[in-house]
Amino acid sequence: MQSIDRSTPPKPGKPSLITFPAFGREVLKNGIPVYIVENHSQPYVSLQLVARSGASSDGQFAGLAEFASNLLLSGAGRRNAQQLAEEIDYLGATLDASAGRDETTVGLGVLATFLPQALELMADVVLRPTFPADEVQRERKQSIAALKQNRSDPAYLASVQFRRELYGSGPYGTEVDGTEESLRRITRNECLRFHAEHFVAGNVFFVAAGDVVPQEFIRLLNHCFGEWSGEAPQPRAFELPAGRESKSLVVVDRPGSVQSAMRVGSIALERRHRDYIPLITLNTLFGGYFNSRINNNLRERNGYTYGARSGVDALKNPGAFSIAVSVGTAVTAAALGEIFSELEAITREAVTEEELTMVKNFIVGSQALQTETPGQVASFVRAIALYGLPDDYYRRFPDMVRAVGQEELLTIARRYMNPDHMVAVIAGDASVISGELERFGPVRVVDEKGIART
Amino acid sequence: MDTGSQARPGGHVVPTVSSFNQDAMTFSEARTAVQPGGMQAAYQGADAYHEFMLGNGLRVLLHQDRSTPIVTINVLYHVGSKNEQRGGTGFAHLFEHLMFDGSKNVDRGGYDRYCTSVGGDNNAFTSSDITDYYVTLPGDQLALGLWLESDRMAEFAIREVSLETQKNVVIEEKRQNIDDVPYGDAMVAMREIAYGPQHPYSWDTIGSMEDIVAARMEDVRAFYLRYYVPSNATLVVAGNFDPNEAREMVEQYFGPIPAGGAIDPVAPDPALLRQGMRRVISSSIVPFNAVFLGYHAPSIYSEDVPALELLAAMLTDGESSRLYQALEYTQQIASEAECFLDDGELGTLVYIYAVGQETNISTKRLEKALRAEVERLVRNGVGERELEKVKHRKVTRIVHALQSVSSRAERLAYFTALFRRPELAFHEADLYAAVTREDLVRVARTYLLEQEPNVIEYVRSK
Repeated sequence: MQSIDRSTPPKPGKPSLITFPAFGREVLKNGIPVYIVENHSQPYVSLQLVARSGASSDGQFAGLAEFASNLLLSGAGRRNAQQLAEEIDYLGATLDASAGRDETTVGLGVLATFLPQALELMADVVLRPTFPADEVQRERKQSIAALKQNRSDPAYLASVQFRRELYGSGPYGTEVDGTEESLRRITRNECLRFHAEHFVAGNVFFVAAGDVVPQEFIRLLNHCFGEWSGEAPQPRAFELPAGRESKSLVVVDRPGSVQSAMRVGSIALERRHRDYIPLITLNTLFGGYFNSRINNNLRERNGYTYGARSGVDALKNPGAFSIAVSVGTAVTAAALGEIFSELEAITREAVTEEELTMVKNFIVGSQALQTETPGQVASFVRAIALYGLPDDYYRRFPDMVRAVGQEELLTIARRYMNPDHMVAVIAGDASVISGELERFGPVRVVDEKGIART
Repeated sequence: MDTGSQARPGGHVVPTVSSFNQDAMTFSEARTAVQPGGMQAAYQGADAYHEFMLGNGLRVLLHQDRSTPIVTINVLYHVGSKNEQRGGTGFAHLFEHLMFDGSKNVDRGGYDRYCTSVGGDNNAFTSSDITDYYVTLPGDQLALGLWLESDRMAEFAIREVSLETQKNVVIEEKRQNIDDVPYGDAMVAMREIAYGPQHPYSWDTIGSMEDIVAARMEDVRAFYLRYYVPSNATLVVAGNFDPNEAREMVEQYFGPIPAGGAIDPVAPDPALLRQGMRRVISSSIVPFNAVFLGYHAPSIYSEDVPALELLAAMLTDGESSRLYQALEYTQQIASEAECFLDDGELGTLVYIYAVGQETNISTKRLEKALRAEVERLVRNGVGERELEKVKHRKVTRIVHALQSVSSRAERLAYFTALFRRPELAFHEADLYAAVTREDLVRVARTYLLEQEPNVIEYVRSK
């Protein structure tokens, strides 16, 4: 056997042609767009119905979109909640509904052989929900219990307060799952109204992936959804909150906490913004992958945490750039200091060519890994449809990433990653951590509901 | 189910109680005219793998799939926390972290740098029985992946600085995933009461923090020399590659590594399995009282396991499942009520648990309601349609997972290393086809109803 030289890494082989998989676009007879990612490797189909209204349409009832969509499965057509659940489960299918910021999704996953029956159930759920009064009560009880469970997680508390600090009472300012107070106010009428206003043919699209033959599939969809009508609601106004002039520090008090969960960041941009690609490139380098600056610093160099990351939440309207990390209580201030100094470094000096090349290779290469299954491809297609991106967006994506330059990223860093305009929210034991945090500026201590502690 | 810990966040699911949350559930006698005929359970192109063994005992499986642009390499070492001793717990998992921290020709941090610089993804997890590593790369980077994996199998090169750093990371991992999560230590506590202290399943894979802190470099080296050897490993290469080229590369990179010695099987005394033990945990971080029941059942090698899996699905999978319907929907006493198996080579613990829906729901009430469902199942039996339902759900999950080449690789490694039956990766659904209604009732009676469970109670102390 030929021996091999282990001292240097091997050269890559013939590059495999990596392109974003093709997808089709069809239209139902009532004009509803249907995106199709055809793939017959497994006898499985996933289908999403997306309504272009989510938690940002909650209005004065925080959590309404999520609450109403949960209830879609609690009685529809001639079936009650238990009958629906039994029939869905019998097909081996999963059918669920949930709200995002800008959209509400009803998702189906099913073996191809059961698709026709599953579609009938899905059509009832989407078109003919009954919102029975006793189910509204039950859902309220369960949702409030789930909120209480969430609130015992410091990372959740930090996220909630972070959002509150950034957006105040605006459409992105509350949690998708609402508050205990708002859930108590939602009645059957609000659910009916939300459904009637937002679940209309002019406000939705489908994304299908897997073992479907387009012509036959469209015939099935037309049969189930072809008579649906209704015009899209007026889009909600979105007012961007004013930016910050200085750093702000908020501690959400969690007495006895063994860790501090942190969120540090500021409002950045919307999905269609032309800075999006340079910003996600920079974000990846900064905190978007395991080998990022933040993770290397906080985990690999200092052992403060199991993992640190940052992300860009680009939505229909401007979402946040933020850093998320949980650290031991004793090293809270030290870790925050490292975060600020990493932010200062990235806004002071251009990234090196070597670092940037590695990140570009990562982003471009990982696109292949993220488009392995038809369902994964569908999630990209969904973004194209939801945010109105060009159909060839993800085909051109690698070239757009490769075109990003070092100087450009310095400008981007200064625009979106300036620590002096950020809010840092730390959920942890205030009696232990607040004092030390004051070296970064005045610290405001609040309780779980965001109300100031005195 | 993997019940272990992993090197880094993301990737595999780390099972904390909250992650067991299934999508919601319901039950009725309603009938539809569904005919399940023509259902295809197996991966299409089913036996598309090639198996061979190198001279040093390394088992190799090549699974080619030309439809994907990627390649994944899965290396399973047949070592887990069951190979540890009291006083040296948490070692297998700590070691998993260290395996990413440099090898002879790859400097500290190099593994991730090489991997991510081509867009790859990697991670690992440790359970009681196995430690499984995977790296997924664009198809043209197969050689890079084989180089990285073989280098860390070839020679011990862990340095003191890595050991010290990863000790801290593991301590934070435990805080984040276990200590600071409501009910996060349920499985740790259950193992402590359900097994005598000398049983290797009596400690969780995360181990004791005292043991982690005390780990010395010589222990780390000894562990490596004993378990991280080709004869104790299974290598799967899956995805888009040329099989002849791949085989040649595998032989070049892995062939020269020395085999390693024999490893004694771990065979604990059956007398170490306990029944009817109880621990009450008073906690200020839990939002509701909760109760966890743990029943002993046979190992993954038992013929009863498929029936147990379907039993768990019947209790827990989907909104029509029995525990959801009874405790969450009808009685409205639980916000979570589920069943899962912590299954292993030395035995299985069947968990049935419920978390209260309001603060005034007592553990006693939850326990009574859970046990009543077990009794009802044994007394009233299982309907034919209900059995079909759980089989449909199982098959659907299996087919769904087979869409991903990395999950195919993981299943191939698992069934090869533990069962010597790689074909099960593609025919897993067949295991469930033969299960009858009588089997379900029998396993529920034998392992649940006729045994006294071990019980963990969480009582809110606020």
